[in-house]
Amino acid sequence: MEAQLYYDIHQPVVERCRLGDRKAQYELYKLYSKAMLNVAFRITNNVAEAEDVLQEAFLSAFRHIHAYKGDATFGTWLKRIVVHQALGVIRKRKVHFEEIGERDYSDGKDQPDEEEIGFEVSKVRKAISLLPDGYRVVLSLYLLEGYDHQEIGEILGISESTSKSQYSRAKAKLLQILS
Amino acid sequence: MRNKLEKFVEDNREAFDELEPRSDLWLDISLKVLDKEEVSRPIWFRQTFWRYAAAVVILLSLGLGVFQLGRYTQRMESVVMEPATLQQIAPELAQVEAYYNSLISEQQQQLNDADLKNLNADMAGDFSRDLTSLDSAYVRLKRDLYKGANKEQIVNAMIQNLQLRSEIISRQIETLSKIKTIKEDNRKDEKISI
Repeated sequence: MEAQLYYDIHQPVVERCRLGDRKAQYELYKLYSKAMLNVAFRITNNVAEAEDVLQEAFLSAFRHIHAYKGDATFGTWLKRIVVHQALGVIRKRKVHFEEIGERDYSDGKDQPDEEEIGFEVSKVRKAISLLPDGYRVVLSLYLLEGYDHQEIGEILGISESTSKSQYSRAKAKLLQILS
Repeated sequence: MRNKLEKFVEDNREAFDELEPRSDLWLDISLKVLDKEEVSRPIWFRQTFWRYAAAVVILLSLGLGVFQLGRYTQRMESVVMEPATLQQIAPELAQVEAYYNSLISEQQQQLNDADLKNLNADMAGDFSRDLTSLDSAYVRLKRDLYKGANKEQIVNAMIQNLQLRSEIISRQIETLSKIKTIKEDNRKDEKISI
């Protein structure tokens, strides 16, 4: 992933940030704010909420920068913070990740064939935003944020297999919308 | 191919990040960073609301403290030896005690005016012995009350004790004033006879 690239390039900036260098903070913001805003938006599905999440996440990251041990890239670490902040926002809407999974969209009856759909970024993006909260979160975390099902299980507090079945249902629903 | 969607997203990953952060978002963040760094007091204290709330609470408790102190000293002036906790254990007793204590001290004042020297030694001895034993009985009762034993009975006994003391003193005053009158009459008689 591209984050692997950041590790070497941006480590000095992170070090300066650790010392409370404000320019370094701005550099990190410039590097990551766009990506992180979009991560937050895909989870909250609301621009204003995503901006709040971004703000809180950066503040929290700067405040707790000493807790960043450097065992992952800074981008990976920051993304975790953003994901958790964003999930906190939608949990207030009482999203239950497992319950939504009870409804079955993947019984295969009018399952559209993935091969026949011509994908377009703007259409896929739109379709993702039309998914119910629980589906959208699992699908985004897997498809766009690059987490595997075990990690998603940890993040959402569900089992790995629930994450898998949630994802396949979310994907089926997405393909339905796109066809 | 089963994973066409996944492949498509991977190939076009950059394009999925369409949102741009609004230009003044960094300003908001940097102001908050400044705010948090400059003030190194605990987090709860930084919020203005809590600062005001704390000020109000401190002022209120100071005011209440002064008020209570005022009331306490007032009580100490009119009532001798009232323990602070009696008010909590038996508020009704505290009132009765205050009443009798002020009555008794008034009577004692009268008694002094009436001049104890006019009593003969036997009578004076009995009188002070009675009062002393009532006094120590009262102290014992009060100690039991603090221990929490049978509150109602003890309170009644304490009130009776106070009544008894007051009665004894007032009888003493009566006796003394009678003696005084008799003596004065005698003196008048003497004068007349001279």
